[in-house]
Amino acid sequence: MMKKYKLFGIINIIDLLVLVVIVLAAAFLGMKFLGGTDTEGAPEINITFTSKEVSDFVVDKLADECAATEISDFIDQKQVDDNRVLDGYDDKYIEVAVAEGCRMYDDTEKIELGRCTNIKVSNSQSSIVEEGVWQTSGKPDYSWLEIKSTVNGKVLDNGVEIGGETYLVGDYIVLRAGVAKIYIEITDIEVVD
Amino acid sequence: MSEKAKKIRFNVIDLLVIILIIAAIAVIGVSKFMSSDAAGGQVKTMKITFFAEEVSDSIVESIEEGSIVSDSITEVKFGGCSEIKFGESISYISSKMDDGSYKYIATSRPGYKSITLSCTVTGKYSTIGAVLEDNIYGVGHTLDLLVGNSRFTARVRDIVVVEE
Repeated sequence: MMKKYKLFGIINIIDLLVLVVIVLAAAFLGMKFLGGTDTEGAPEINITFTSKEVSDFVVDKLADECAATEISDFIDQKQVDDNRVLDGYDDKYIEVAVAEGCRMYDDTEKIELGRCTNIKVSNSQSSIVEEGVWQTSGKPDYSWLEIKSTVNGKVLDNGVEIGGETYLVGDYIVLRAGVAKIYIEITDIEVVD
Repeated sequence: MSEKAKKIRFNVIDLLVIILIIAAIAVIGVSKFMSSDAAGGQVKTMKITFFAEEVSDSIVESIEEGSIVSDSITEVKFGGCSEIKFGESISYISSKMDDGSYKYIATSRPGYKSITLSCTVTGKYSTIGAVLEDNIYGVGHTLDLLVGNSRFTARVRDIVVVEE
């Protein structure tokens, strides 16, 4: 009978199967939580994150964290000028290269995404559907935001691997950029030569 | 061997199963703590400001200085609220412009107000936010806020260190 059969005379075949499953589970957990963080010698990768609509107070905090006073001034002026209809701001933007940028962190996967290197801000590009047509409009107290970071990672055939997680253009993540927290899209991935 | 002795006997597989289960629990536990430990930071006294663009007048009437504020999901308590400010509610509607295009404008809705309130808390101030009871709060964070007897959706508007 199966119950009495022992592999090599010491291990019951059911016990062996349980052992295999547990070893596989342990290997998976180990890889998930402890592995995949070695980026020594890995190439530098520039990642661009973009959000079409972020609250001005969040952008202001981000600018504050990165000592980008020009961004804060732009937000302040936009709010003064907006008069609740942001005419004239659709083509305006400001871009600042950040010397000592804030920490960038994927809040969902708990992965470090380097430091902020560049911030670009413009009027928000909020969507409206009117008369059956999609339109884009600025929205008072909101901005369009682009943040860039540089991080070491592995280049894959599809996307890049950072901290054991694969990132691709079009992915949305919850990004912590310094003390600011933003739901944002990855819009560009570029390997630094 | 007696029946009692048979019941408590472990074989080598049982032992391995126990070791691996303990290891799995340890890995999960460590990874959970790592999420807030990864934030780092030092213990500070901070002022957290919450903001909601539109809350009903019934909520406005139920809130007063000192009302206890907490996060309904994480159950983190932020203490009593202070610096409560009510303003015109902010509702965004699309409006037709002279050139025929549509633009968002901000308007106020009768029966609603905007609210800003602050709480003073002690926790770790890290490079990615305020760490309170293993939860990391950042500016822009949306939460289901309980203030006294009312509940509404709000966002963290600012976090500043008030005491080192």
